[in-house]
Amino acid sequence: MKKTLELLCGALSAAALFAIMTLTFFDVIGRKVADNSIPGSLEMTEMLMVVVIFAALPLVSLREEHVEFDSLDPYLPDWLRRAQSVVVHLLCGAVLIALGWLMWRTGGAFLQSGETTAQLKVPKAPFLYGMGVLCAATGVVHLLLIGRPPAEKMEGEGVAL
Amino acid sequence: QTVLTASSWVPPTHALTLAQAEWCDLLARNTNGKVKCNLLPRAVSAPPGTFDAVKNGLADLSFTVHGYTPGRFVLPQMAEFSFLGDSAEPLSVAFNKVAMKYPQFNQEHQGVKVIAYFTHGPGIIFNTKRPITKVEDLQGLKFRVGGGMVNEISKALNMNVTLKPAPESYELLSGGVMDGTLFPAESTESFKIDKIIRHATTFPGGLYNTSFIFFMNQAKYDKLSPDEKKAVDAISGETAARIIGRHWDKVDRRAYALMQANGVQVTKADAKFVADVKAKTGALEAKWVKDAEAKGLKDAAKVLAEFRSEIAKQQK
Amino acid sequence: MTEALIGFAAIFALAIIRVPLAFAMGLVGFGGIAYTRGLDPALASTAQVVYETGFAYTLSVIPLFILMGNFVARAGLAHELFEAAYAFIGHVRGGLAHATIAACAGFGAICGSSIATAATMSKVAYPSMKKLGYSDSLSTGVMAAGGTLGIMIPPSTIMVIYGIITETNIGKLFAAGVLPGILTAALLMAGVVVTTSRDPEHAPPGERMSWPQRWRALRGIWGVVLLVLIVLGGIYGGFFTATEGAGFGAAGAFLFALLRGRLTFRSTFEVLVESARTTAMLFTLLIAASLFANFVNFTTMPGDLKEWITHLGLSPTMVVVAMMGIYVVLGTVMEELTMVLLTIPLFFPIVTSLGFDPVWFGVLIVMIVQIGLISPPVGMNLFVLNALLPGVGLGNIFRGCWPFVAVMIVVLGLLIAFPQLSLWLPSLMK
Ligand code: NA
Ligand code: NA
Repeated sequence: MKKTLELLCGALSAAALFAIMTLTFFDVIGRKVADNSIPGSLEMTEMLMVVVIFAALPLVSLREEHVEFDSLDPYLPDWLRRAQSVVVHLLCGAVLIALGWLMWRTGGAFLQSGETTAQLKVPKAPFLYGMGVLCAATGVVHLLLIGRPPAEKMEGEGVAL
Repeated sequence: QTVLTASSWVPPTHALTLAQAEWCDLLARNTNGKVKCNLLPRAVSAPPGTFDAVKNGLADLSFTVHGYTPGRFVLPQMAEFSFLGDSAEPLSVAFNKVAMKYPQFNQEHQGVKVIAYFTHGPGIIFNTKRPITKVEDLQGLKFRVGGGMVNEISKALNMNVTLKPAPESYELLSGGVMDGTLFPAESTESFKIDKIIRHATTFPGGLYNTSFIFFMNQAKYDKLSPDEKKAVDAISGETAARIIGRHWDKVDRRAYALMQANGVQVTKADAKFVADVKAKTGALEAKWVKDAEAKGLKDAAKVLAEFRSEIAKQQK
Repeated sequence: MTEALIGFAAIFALAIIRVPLAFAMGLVGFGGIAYTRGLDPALASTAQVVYETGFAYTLSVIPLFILMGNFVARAGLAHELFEAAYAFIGHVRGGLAHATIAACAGFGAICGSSIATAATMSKVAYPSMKKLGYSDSLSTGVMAAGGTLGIMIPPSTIMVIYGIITETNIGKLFAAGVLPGILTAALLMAGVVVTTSRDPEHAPPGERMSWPQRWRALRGIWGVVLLVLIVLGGIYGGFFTATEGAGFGAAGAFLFALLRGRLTFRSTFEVLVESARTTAMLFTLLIAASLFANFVNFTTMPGDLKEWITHLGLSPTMVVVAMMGIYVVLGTVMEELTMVLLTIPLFFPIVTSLGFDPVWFGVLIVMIVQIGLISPPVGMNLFVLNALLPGVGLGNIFRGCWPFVAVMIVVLGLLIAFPQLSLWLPSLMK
C-alpha cells in the first residue's frame, strides 16, 4: 500500500518535474536558435506544475515533512505526544478530505463553464478533479497515520531553507 | 448604510482603480452617503480569478478582462477586433450600448450584475529594435502578448509571440528576452516600460483592443433597497463606461507625451499595412460571427456592423 | 483589528499543539474569511487560491531552483571547490576553515539552500579538518555558518519565496544578495582569524601548494563556474527570465551530473521526487499564507497598524532595528520558514509604508534567516550537522556556532546602516 503510493505518486510528480525542466530548456533554446518558442509552453508548465505539487502532496504527508513547530517535543511526556498525534492527524485528514470535496466541486463548475487554457484550449476541469482526488488521498494518508510512531527522517530531508 | 467591498488588481494610482473610485464617489454623493465603497488594500484574488471572486461574493465590486478566463466568454470578443476606434471613451460607450441592447451578452455573465462593458484605448505594437512599417517587418522579432483576441490576431499575422503576463513585460523587455509587446499606450507607463521601448507602430482605430466589464455581485445588488438600486442603475451603463473611458484616455495622452519625451519613434501604419492586416485577420471576424450565433446571438454580423456604426456616431 | 489579532493568536495556538503550519494558517484564513464575508465566499476563495497557486507559471521557479541545487549536490562539485580553495589559502593558520567558507560561497552560487550547502560541505571538509586536528566545535561552526551563504548568494529559495509573497522582483533580490554574501564570507573569515588566534593548536595550517598545483586545482572547478555563468549570466544578460534561468540551470546541473557518471535512473528518480516533495510542502505553505493574507485584507489591521507605528513616533530606521531585534530573538527558538511566513504579512506593509525598499528588506530577512539557522537551541543547520556527524555531539556544535552568530549580527547591522551594500548592484539593472 505504502510502496504503491510512493511509486505511483513519485512517478507522476517526478515525470512532471522532469518534463517542466526539459520543456523550459528547449523553449529557451528554441526561441534563441530557431527563433520560435514552443507554442503553449507556458500553459504546459502550468498544467505540469499542478501534477508536481498535488501528486507529491500524499508523499509529503506520508513522510510527515510538513513544517511543524516541534521545539516542545523533548519536553513533552510520551502519552501527550501520542494524543497530540491523534488530534493533529484527525484534523489534517478532515481538512484535506474537505478540500478534496471542494476541488472536485470546483472541477464540476469548470466543466460547466467550459474554461480552457488560453493557447492550447485544454479544458481545465480534469486538473481540478485530479487536485480533488489527490487532496482527499492525502487526507486518507493522515487518517492512516493516526497512532503510528512519527516517520524516521533522513538528515535535512524535506527542509527547504 | 450599505458598504460595497471593492477590489482592484492594478496599483492604487492606475486608471482603473481611479475610475472605480470616481464611480464610487458619485454613488456616495447621489445617495447622500448611504451607499459607500470600501476599497480593499490589496486585490482579493489574482487578476484571472476576479470574475469568480465577485460572482462568489468575496468582493462586491470589481472589474475584469474577459480574456482572462478563456472559453467562457464569446460575445464580448466583438470589442477586441482590429481598427475599431481611436479612443477609449467613445469605444466604451458604444460597446456598452450595443452589449446592453442584446440580452445574450448579459446571459453570458450569469451570477453577476454587469455595471458597464468597456475597452481600453487602441492597441499598439511596441518594440525595442526597429521601426515596423509593413506587415513583413513583424517577422524576426519576439513579442509578448496577453490572452484574448490579440493572441489570435498576432497568430494570424504570423508573429512570433509568447503568452506572458503583462507585469512580466518589464523583465522580458529590459533584459532583452523579448523584443516587443502589444499594449495600449497607457500600459507603457503603468508597466514601466516607457524608457525601454524605442519604436511604436500605431494603427487607425488600433491593431486590437481588450474587452472588460465593471461588475457587481448579483446577491449584493438584489439586497439593495429599491432606492439604492435606482441609484446604482442611474450611474450604470453609459455613465460608468464614460467615466472609465475618460480615465483611460487621460493616461493614454500622458503616455504619448512621455513617449515623445523619451524619443520613441512612432510609426503610423499606412494604407497598405492596414489592408494587409485586414486581409490576414478577416477570417477571425467570420469565426466570431459563427461562434456568437452558436451562443444564441442572432444575426451576429449585423450586431457587429451596428457596433461599428455606433462607434462612428460616438466619435463625432 | 481584533479579528486579525485573534487570527494570529489562533495560528500560534494551533502551531503549538503541533498542527502543521500550513494547516493552521489555512484553517484560520478560511475561518476568518467565512466570518468576515460568509461561508460561500470562503469556500470559493479557498478553491480559487488552491488552483491559482497550482496553475501559476511564475511559481515554477521554485521547483526548478530546488531541482538544480539537488542535482548539483549529487554531481560532487563540492569536492573540487574545496580543493581549489584549499590550494590557495590552506597554508595559513585555520586554512581549512577559510577554505571551507570560500567553498561554501562558491557552492552557494549554484545551490539555493543553506541546509544542502552545509550538508554537502560537511562530507568534503569535515574529514580533512578532523585529520589535521581541528576542534570539532570550530569545524562544525564554520560549516554551519558557511552553509548559510547558500541563501544569501543567488540563487536562493528564501529570496524566491519572499519575492513571491511580497511581489518583489526576484532578479533584483538575487542581485542584491551578491555583495552582502561576499561581505558575510569575508567577515566569517575574519571571525576564524580571531577565534584561531586564541586557540592556534586546534587550527593548524595546511601545506603550501605551488602555483602549478594551484592552477591545476582551479581547473577542477570549471563546471561550477560554467553553471554560474550560464544561470546568472543568462538572467542578467537577457538570455532568459529568472523562471527560465532556473529551468536552464536545472537542466544544466542534470546534464553535468549525468556526464560525471553520478546519476543512475534510480538516483535521478530520487532527486526528482525529493524536489517535488519539497515543492509540494512549500506550496501548501504558500496557499495557506495567501488564504490568511486574504483574511487579513478584509480586516482593518493593515491601516490600524500603520497608524499605531506613526503614533509611536519612532524614526523609521529604529522601527526596522526593533523588528530585527524581535527576529533575532524569535530565530533562536523558531523554525525560520515559519517565522518569515507568519511575520511578513505583518511587517512588510509597515516597512514599505515607511518608505523602505522591499529589496533591501528582503536582504535583511535573508540575513535574519541565516542567523536563525545557526543560533541554538533551534537551528536547522546545527541539527543537520549533528545528524551527519554523529561523533561530534550537539554540545560541541552549539559551542562552535556562537562566534559566527556574533559575526552575522555585525553584518546585519552593516546592512541596515549601509543600504547601498544591498541596493547598489540591483540599481545597475535597467
Ligand atoms: Na545560493
Ligand atoms: Na534558530
